[in-house]
Amino acid sequence: MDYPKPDDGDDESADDYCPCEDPTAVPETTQPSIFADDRGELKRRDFAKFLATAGGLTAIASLAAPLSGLTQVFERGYSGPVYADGIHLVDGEGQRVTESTLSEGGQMTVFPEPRPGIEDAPTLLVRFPEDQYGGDTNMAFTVNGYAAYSKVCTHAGCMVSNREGNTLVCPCHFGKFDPLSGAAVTDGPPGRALPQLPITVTSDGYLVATGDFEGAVGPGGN
Amino acid sequence: MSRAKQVYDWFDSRLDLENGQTFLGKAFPAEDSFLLGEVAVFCFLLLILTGVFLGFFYEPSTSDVEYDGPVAEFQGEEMPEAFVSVLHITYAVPFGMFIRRLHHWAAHLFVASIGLHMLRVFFTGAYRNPREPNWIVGTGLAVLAMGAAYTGYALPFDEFAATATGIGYNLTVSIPLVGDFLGEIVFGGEFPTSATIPRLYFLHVLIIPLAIMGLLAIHMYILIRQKHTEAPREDDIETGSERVDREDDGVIVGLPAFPNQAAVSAVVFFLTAAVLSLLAGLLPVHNVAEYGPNDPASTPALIMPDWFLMWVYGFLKLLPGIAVDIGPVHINSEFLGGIVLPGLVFGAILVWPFVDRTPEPTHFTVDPLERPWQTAVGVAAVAFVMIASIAGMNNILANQVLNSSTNVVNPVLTAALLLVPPLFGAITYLLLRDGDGSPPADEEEGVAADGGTDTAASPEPGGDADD
Repeated sequence: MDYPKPDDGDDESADDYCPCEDPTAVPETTQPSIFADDRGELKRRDFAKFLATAGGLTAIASLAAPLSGLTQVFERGYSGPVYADGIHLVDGEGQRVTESTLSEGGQMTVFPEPRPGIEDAPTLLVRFPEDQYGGDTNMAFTVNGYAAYSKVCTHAGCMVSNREGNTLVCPCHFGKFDPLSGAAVTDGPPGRALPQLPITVTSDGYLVATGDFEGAVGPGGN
Repeated sequence: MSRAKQVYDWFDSRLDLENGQTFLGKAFPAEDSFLLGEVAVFCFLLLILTGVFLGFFYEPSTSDVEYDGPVAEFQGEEMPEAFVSVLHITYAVPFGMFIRRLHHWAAHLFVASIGLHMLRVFFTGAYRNPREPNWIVGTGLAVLAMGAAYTGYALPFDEFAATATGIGYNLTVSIPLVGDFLGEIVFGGEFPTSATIPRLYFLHVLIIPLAIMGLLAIHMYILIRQKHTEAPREDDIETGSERVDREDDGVIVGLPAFPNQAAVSAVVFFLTAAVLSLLAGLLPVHNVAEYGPNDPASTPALIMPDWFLMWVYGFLKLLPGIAVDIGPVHINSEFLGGIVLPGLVFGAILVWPFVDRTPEPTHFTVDPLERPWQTAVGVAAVAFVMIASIAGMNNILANQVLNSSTNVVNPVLTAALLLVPPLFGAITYLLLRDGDGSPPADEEEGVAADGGTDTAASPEPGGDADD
């Protein structure tokens, strides 16, 4: 350590001299002084620096503690079940969807009938001839050619609202899903299929869910 | 003694203006391409001025309110307050539509002029020793400018804004380990919540502008401290009474800050303002009334980000679905395409001055044609970003240009993204290395910088020298 000391350089012998051992041996020329022993002075100064550093950093860091409050979120995303057994499918106007709403090849966006806490859970309802389904389609979840999949793309959460022929296309990054094969990914960046919704028809002809989606809705979860 | 002189003396006696006047002689090399940075600064100024105007009317809230205003289509409809207030700005506030579009166009030009400024600095080698710190500060400014543009894009909360913000949210939470934390801090939790718009608004109007101002101040301070670079001199230069040797890099020859450069800057400012006013007046941009308010159950059929984020969008579109778990770390293609690859690009920009290291301080710019490998890297980088941007528009390329499908063009684009930049780089290198009969010693610039340490410039008469 070579910090400048008040008496640096004018008394080289200070190193060998310890006033605590024999105060009477102090030479006449050198006055006992707290500055005389640069080892002791260094230690004090280093210690003070250490304290100031640690104390200063602690004080500044403690000021940052309230930052953790910024993660407080007051309106949490709904994370419970979206559909349940017997929940009606409704269209954008809130009208219940019946068995005759779509013809074969048709497609529409439906929602669970609103309940408190659940307002938007866009779901794609498609209808194809029953014998065209295959691949990963869970046939027990389909009814009379109807199949329902989550509309939320599993890549970046956009709505899968475009269509090329019989392929469902997400307009954001052009992930493509095959509704005839369990909405499996046929091209593009998504990592997994759109989750399928189990549906059935009630005795009075309305489409209802028989449970919740068969997997996580939206991005992540794969 | 005239009244003006009295006022001047009053201030001079308190602020020592007389000594400060030497600064008015700061030399600005007379190179047109050096003005790109000034364009960016003036865009920032116009963004602040127009932004203050917009801030008087904008409501950062997504609560639904009933619209009552001149747009018949939405009359009486319940829509998010942010969207309604932007409709008011656009259609009900006098000059509101003009100011909003001016703000939007200025944002585009801000990012564009920063990008061109960076290219100029890159190709002329102005990032070299001792200017590496300013290259890093400038890269930070480019990132902040894009951040400001992204947060501002979200604010009208129309269909496009909400989709873009939603993608940004999903990219943020895809970051392993800290993603959810960042999503809560920046977006106020799972998008869209009522906290999203207020937070992005706060970032857009306060935090990011303050950060830009801070970095801009540092950028300017370093510039003044280190002085400009200057194009290699053809010959010795007579300046007033003194002769500047053509190889003397201790002195920068240029226009004095006042009055010459001030006049040039005024022209640049008014040209910038005029071009932006023309664009704002004649070319509608981001027509929120046509887009409509955010509809959570749908996404517009044709959607893409602003051009300066198109390359990131291209990464997202080209990367296939990937999901890897390493312990608690979950890595997927959103993270790789939206965070890692752009991060690597900016990382490469940051470390570039330390890759192309210059041991001696250099104060003259270089002709890019005399630096084969650096120029080749630059050309390859530009090609890379361009092809990634084309990939960001793969659906337009496939459906409207080639009458094909994205399944077909994606593999081609991926191959092009990996192969074309090295190819362009190699061609550039070979052409420059043994092309036009320039001296084969390509490491030696046409005018060697004298390597002398940064000795203080001798005071130059005629206002030609710095300090």
